[in-house]
Amino acid sequence: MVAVQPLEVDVTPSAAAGAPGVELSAVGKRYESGGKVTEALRDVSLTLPDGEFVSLIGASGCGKSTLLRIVAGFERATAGRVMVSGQPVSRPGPDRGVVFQDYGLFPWLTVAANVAYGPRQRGATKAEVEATVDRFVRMVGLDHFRDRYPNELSGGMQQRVAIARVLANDPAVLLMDEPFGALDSLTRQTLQEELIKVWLELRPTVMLVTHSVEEAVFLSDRVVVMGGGPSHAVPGHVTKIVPIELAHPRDVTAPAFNDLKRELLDAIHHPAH
Amino acid sequence: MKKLLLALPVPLLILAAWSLAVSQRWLTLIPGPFEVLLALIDFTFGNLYDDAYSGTLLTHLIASAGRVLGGFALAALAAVPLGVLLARYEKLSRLIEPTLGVLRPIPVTAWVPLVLIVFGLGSHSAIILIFIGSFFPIFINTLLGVKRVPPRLIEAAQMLGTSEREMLYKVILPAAVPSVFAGMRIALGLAWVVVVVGETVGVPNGLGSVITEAREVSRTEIIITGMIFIGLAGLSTDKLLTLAVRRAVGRSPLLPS
Repeated sequence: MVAVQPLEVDVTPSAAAGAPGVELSAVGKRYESGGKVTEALRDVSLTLPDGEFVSLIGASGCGKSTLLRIVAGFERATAGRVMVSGQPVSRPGPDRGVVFQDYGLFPWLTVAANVAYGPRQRGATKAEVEATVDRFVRMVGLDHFRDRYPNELSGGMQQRVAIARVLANDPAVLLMDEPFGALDSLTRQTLQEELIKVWLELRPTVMLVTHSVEEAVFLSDRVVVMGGGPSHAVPGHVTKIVPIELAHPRDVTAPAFNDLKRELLDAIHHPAH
Repeated sequence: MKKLLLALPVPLLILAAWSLAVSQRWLTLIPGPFEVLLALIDFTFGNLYDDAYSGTLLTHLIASAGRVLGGFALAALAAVPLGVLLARYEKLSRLIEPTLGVLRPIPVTAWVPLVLIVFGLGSHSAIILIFIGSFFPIFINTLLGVKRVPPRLIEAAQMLGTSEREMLYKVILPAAVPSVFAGMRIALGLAWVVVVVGETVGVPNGLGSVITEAREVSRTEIIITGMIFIGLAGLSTDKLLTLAVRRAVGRSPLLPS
C-alpha cells in the first residue's frame, strides 16, 4: 500500500494522543413526546480503540442507529458520557464523518464539488482542495465522473462519493448508518471490499450499523450485538460483543466465517438476558 | 432541428383549419390567416396600410414587457426574502401568514378597481397589479422550497463542518432553488395575463391596450396579431428567466434545460 500523506486538518485541536476513538460510558437516551416517555437506550458502555472497526447489529428498534446518531452529534444522550478522541461530543463536526444509507449528497454540486465541500468549509487553499479531491475521488474509483451530478450516478457510485466526501475531511471516526442497505448484493460486496481497503490504508475508527450479519463479520474487528427496544419493553442495550479475529481479506465461505455468523445470528435471535 | 420539425405540424393544422373555416364561411367574423399575416407585417414594419397601428409593435412591446418585468422583479424582490424569512422563523410566520392567507385567494382582477382608485389610470397601476399577481406564486413556492429542504442535507452539511449561520447560503437556498424558480415561472406567466388586464383600462400603449382598442374599432386582424405577439413575448421572457437563473446557479441538474 502506498504511504499516505497526512492531511493538514485542524478539526480536533486538542485531541488527546492515545485517546480511544470513541468512548461511550453508561449512555442512555429518553424521548418525551406528549407526556409519554420512551427509553430508547439504557446504560450502553462501549470503547472503540483508535482505528478499530466495530459493527452494531441487532433487530429493528434496538437503538443502534440512535447510538450512532448520538456519536455523530445529531442527537444528545440524556444520560452518560460520549467522548470522541478524548473530547466530549456536543454537536456534529467534521472529525466524525457520517455516511448515510440515502447518501445525503448535495444534488446541486458535482461529484468533485461534493468532495470539495468539507475541505472548503475548513478553509483549505485551492491547491489543497484540489489535491484532496483528486486523491479521494480516485480512491473511490470515480475519476471519470468528477463533473457529473449525483442524479446521474448509480446508487453504488453515489455512496462512493459520500464516502470520499467524508474521507476528504480526514475524520478520526467514520460513522456509517446501514451504508450499503439500499444497494444490490453485488454492488454491496464490491463496496465492502473497497471499504476495507480504504480502512486499511487510512485507519479511521469505524462504527457501522448494519442489518447484515455477513457484512458485520466480513468488515469488523468486533461485532456489537444489541437487543431490546420498544417492542421488548426493555430499552436498547448491548447484549453481546463478538471479536472477529480473521485476517483480511476474509473468505465468506470459510468454516470459521460461518461459525461466527452462526454465533451472531444466535445472539441476535436468542439474547441471553 | 428535429424538435422544430416536430413542433410544426400542429400550428400548420390550425392554420389550415382556420383558413378553410374562413373560406367556407363557417366563420364570418374572423379574417383569414393571410389577412392577419399582412396585419402582422404592417404592425411590425409599417409601410403597408399606414394607419394607427402601422409599425408600432416595438413601442407596444417595450411598454408591456417593461411593465411585466418591472412588476415581476418587484414581486420577486419582495416574495423571495419574505418566503425565506417566514419559512425560517416560526413566530414571524404566525404573525404574517394568516393575513397572506386571506389576501391570496383574492384574484388580481378583483384588485383592479381598488388599484385604479388609489393609483389612478396609468402605467404604475398596471405594474402594481402585476406585482400583486406575481407575488403569491413566488412567495408560496419559496416558502415551501425552504421548508421542504430534506433534513438529511442539513445533517450532511453539519457533519461536514457547516455552522448554523452558513446553512442558509450553503444548503437551504441552493436546495430551494428549483422550487423558487418554478414559482417565478408561474409568476412570469401570470404577469403577462395581468398586464393585458391592466392595459385594458387607461393606458395608451402596450399590447393589452392594442387588442382592447382594436376591438372597439373592429380590427379583428389586429386583435389576433396582438395575441400572437403576447404569446411570443411570454415565451421569450420565460426563456430569458430560465437563462438568467441558469447563469446565476450554474449548470445544475435541478433546472429544466
